[in-house]
Amino acid sequence: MAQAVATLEHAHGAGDVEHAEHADHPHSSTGLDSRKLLMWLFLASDCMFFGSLIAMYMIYRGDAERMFLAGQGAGPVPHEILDIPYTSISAFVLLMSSLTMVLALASIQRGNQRGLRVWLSATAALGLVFLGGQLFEFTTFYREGLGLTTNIFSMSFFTLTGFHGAHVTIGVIWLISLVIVSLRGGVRQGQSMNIEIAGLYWHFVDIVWIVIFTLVYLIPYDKVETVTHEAEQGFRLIGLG
Amino acid sequence: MHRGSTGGRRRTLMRLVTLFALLVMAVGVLLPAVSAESPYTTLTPQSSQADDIQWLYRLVFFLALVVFIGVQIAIVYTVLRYRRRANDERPEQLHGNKTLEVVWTIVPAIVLLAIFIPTVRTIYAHADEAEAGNFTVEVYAKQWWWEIHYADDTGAAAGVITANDIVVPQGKDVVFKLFSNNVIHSFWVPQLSGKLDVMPGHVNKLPISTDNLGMYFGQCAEFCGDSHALMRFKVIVQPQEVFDQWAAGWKAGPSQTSAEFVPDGDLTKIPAAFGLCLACHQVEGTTASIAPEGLDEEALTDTGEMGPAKYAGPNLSLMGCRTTIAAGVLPNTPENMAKWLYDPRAIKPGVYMGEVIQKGSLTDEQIQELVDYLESLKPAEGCPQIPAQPGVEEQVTPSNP
Amino acid sequence: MASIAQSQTVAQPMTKPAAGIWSWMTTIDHKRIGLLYGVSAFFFLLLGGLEALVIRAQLARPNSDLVSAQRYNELFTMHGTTMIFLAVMPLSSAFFNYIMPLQIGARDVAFPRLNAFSFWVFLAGAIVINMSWFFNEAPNQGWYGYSPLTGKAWSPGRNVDFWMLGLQILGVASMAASFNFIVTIFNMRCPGMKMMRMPIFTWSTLIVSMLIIFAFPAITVALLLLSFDRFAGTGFYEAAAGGDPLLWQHLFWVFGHPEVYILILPAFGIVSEIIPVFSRKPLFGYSVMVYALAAIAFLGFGVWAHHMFTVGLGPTANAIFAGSTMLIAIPTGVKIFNWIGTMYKGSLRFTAAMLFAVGLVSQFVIGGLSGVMHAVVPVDTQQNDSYFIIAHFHYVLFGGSVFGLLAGIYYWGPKFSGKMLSERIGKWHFWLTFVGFNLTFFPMHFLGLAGMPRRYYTYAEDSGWGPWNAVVSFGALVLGISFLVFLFNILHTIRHGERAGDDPWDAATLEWAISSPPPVYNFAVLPTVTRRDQLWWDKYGDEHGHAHVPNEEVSTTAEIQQRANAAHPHVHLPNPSYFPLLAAVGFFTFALGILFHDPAITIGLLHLPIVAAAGMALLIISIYAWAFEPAG
Ligand code: HEA
Ligand code: HEA
Ligand code: CUA
Ligand SMILES: [Cu+2]
Repeated sequence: MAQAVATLEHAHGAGDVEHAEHADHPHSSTGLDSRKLLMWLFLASDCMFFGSLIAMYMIYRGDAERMFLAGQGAGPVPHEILDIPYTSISAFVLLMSSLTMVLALASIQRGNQRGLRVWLSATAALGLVFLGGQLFEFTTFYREGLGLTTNIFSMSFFTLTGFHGAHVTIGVIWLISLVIVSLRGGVRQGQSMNIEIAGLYWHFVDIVWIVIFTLVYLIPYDKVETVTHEAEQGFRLIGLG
Repeated sequence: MHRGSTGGRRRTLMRLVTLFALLVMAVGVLLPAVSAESPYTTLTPQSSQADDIQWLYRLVFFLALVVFIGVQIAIVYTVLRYRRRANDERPEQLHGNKTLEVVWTIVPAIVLLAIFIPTVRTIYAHADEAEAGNFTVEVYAKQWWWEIHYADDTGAAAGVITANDIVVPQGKDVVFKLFSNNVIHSFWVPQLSGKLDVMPGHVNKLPISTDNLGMYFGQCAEFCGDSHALMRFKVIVQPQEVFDQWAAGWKAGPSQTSAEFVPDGDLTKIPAAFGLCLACHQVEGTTASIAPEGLDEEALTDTGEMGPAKYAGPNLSLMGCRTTIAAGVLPNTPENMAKWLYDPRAIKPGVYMGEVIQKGSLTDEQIQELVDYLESLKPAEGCPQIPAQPGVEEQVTPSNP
Repeated sequence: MASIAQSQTVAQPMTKPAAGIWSWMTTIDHKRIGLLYGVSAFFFLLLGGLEALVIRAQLARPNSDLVSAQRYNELFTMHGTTMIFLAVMPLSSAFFNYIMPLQIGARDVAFPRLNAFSFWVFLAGAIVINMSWFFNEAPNQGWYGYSPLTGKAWSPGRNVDFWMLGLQILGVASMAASFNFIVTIFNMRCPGMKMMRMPIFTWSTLIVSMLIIFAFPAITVALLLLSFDRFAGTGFYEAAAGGDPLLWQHLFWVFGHPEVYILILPAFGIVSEIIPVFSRKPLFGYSVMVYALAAIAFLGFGVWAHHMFTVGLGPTANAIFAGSTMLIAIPTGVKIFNWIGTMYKGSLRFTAAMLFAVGLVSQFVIGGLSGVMHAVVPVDTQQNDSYFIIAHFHYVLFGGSVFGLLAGIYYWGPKFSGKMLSERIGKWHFWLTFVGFNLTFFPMHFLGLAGMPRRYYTYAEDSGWGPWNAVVSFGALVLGISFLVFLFNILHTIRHGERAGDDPWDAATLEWAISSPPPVYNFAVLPTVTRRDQLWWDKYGDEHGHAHVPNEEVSTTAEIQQRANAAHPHVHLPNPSYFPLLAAVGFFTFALGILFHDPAITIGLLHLPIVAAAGMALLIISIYAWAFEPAG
């Protein structure tokens, strides 16, 4: 559902374009732009959303491997199937897209329409590359026998990374819409806020991926790692895992 | 303030104090009154664990009562004393009072600490007792009945499997290990202990130690579907020798009392009508021993539509000695047994037995045959006498033998 | 949009409210949206109450077979769900919408169309849950739907799906509304309205909204995982599949406990407005009251496992959560004592509003204290899932939330309608409610102690629970009558209620400086405040009662508004829009598609259910349309 709200904020972001200017003195008690504040609040809330999903993943993280060692449970398990080099590349791509997003904002603030279009498109493109990578990863896993319901690992893996992918998708659609708006001569220098807000969202989605990438891919599954160990202790305290 | 109204104030205050003193007494009298009326009462504990809980309950109850009365007096006094008189008057505009506010932050904190410390003590004490038992009963909660397995440390009873009537010897430190292979249930015998949930995928342990002979009423306390309200059971505390006798009777299998109801008097055989029941029910020492039990590994993990999770039925050995039919819904009498066999779902909504047996599945003859056989399943020397329930005014007489 | 609603530019005149159904369906006026919330929430309060009455009829005597076990399970599930999500939450939202912008001197909320969207989506969710009745598949798994009972294996029907999807949609509505309220309070305060000058009700709006945006994501995730378990065959909550039913309980209560404060804090805010007005004294310890609100909200996130004391989490977890739970008694106590402090040495006038407010102060304490008993883990193992719990939460939910909201209706009713609710009938209403309420819920403590578990559709003669259940059911009947009296009062007022002036209660906050009901633009000129309780200062001068005489230089906030109004101001307001409504219809269609496994087409790996897809399309299209629609 967070997604739905996300789309909505986006919509609204653009929605205020038309009249932002013919308000002679925009009122704001805090001096913060209302739509920017709205985005910050949404992201705060979205932290809880991903927080819950990541908690779910961490609770089940070790289980598939344990069952595997105990000779029970089905299907491929993390250490067999996760391809860290491959995912590192797509992670890098997403990181770069944050950079291009910054450049896009910088351009419009300098009133450079072309720059804006170029860098926005670049960001969207990099986002699409990342999504393509994820799609490819998912299909390979599927071929190697890891379906959504194969085991507890597959369930939590596809759900967590899938919802992040959904966030990225919404971001890409948003960026493309902004490109179109600016082609229609929409975005003026005075409205760099529209870009800034999209940027906030994009950077957030990016940061979330860094966390997911670390917890899901980087930290090995076979030996006990302090981070995950601490987490498991914590969850065990409240009866989980 | 001049004297006249000060007197008035004192009078209202006195009235209030007496009023609330009366209220306390009223509540103090009412509680025990309601408590002893029910066989499920929590207020007349009969085990060491239930005693601890009751002691804690008294503590918080009276502290809460004091707070309650304090607050209500303050409210009623203020309300009576400061009603508006002249419509133009405007009281002094007080904005607050730091010291007061500090006081009514600190005082509650102290009260709460006084509650918190014994709370933690009891939590850990009971946790330790759960590990230190010397008599383990495994309880498998099903929709909507209880399968009971006696573990190896139960002496004569080791290996006994029964349902809904849990017989335990007096003076043991009993630990109930709770399993579920279906939904969540909750195991609750109010007079003997607080409740503990039966969680699929988890094993919970509930300690109960009591010297008080008696038949204690238990029930399911976590919503578990259609017949959640009809998932009752009993814990029957017996002297050791009576307990051993009962266990021996169970292991001996059907006694001569059943001889006239089975083909050519062969006690290992079962009456023809029982054929339908084989899929779900067992009778120790007879050919009726193919049905799944709640316990077996696969049953623990299989939650599938058709799995034993749903279709394991109560073990019917010594059925004649059970106090009730259908997990405490009907007293165990031939008439009730006939009613149950005629249409189980009319008595217990959604019960899985109803998928096999509906109105008319069994002829009156078959039903009669089954009733006779099942009611005859008891030791030759008859069923053990069942003690009454202590701490309860209106006794619910156990309906057997 | 913020800029627009606030700008004082002169554009087309917009002083008369538009009329007709369509104008209501496209309205983005926070006052109208507030009324829409209020009316629908009140309807659901009656519906949930009706369900409760059937429950009580069933339980009035042992072995009753008035309704079947299945029907009974639907009744208590729908009663709980309806009361919490469709009655109390939206009724609070009604006050947030209508009153909060007025209290901070704003012309509207920050995002009026998002506000309309929130309401229509709420309505969509409410309909999704309740239409289940017509398919005879009403949710039947309890309002906190513990898995695995909610799994396909144990609930093959659609009952759970209606509940699951409905709640999910309601979550979107609540979060969207809350984002809006928070931005509004931060950014749309009129000149001089510092945070610590805001009326306490506005503070409660802010803090409840914060609770919502941080608590709802947890249940969103919980419900998503449940949807996958039910529709995609995963097993997040199935022990057999390597999942854990306990995960649901944690995710649900991480939301669920903050939720109960989401239900009570609006009521606390309302009585914090009413008690000072009818005591003619400022709120005792304003800043402490604000901190107490914040403390309750903050601590509320650290106590969830007190709903799981019988689950077997282990002694350490139980001890920790017992402690954190007890802590909450402290800030709550401060509020209770400060309300009494406000009345102390005041000049108390017992209008219906004041009666319900004082009723809350005295009755909530009972529920609070039983709450503290639950915090004592060993004691809770005897009370959990018994009628003692039912007693606890009806004392806080009815004696707290509902008393507070009824007080709010009597207090602000005149502002909504311009007419006074009858005080005479109001007093009857209060005393009937007060007596019926205690008759209904106090004996539940006895039933709990006598071991009666909740969610029992029937009980045996020999349980000994018969007599007190009869009393409880009689009490519910009295409560029913009290609600009919209330309904009568409302109708009577609509017919021939006497006109209310701008400021019938001699109150202190900005909403009383303008006409009742207020003009579409609320304030002809943005007010400027110089202190808390501005209107009292206008009328009576400072603390020490030194009257300040209004004259040419110094004129009161009310006078300024009247003069400006008389001059027929031309206030530029954003245009109405039907896209929010369309977007909500999109949500609704989507849910229908999923519920009724509609015809689907398969493109490669993709299996596309048509109706659901159409719903999503409608949602996205209308959001785009709305995004590029000129806001005027
Ligand atoms: C309006 C909603 C609301 C509110 C405000 C509260 C407030 C509190 N609740 Fe309640 N609660 C519910 C709604 C609410 N609850 C619901 C709906 C359930 C059941 C859900 C379900 O199972 O269906 C529930 C269940 C529930 C449980 C779980 C019981 C169980 O299922 O086993 C517990 C356990 O600790 C609990 C505790 C508390 C406490 C400590 C408070 C505290 O916030 C109370 C604090 C207030 C006071 C203490 C009174 C005023 C204070 C003073 C006068 C100061 C002096 C006091 C002392 C020194 C003690 N509640
Ligand atoms: C704010 C929340 C709220 C409110 C106000 C109420 C109000 C009432 N509740 Fe509520 N109740 C809950 C929240 C609430 N409840 C919750 C969360 C549960 C747990 C559900 C679960 O276990 O899952 C519950 C469970 C619950 C049970 C336990 C059921 C069970 O466990 O088996 C009972 C039993 O008596 C009960 C009774 C009542 C009664 C008599 C009222 C009365 O106060 C109702 C008074 C109102 C009326 C009587 C309506 C008046 C209407 C008319 C007179 C008719 C007019 C109608 C038209 C014109 C259309 N409730
Ligand atoms: Cu088993 Cu309720
Ligand atoms: Cu709680």
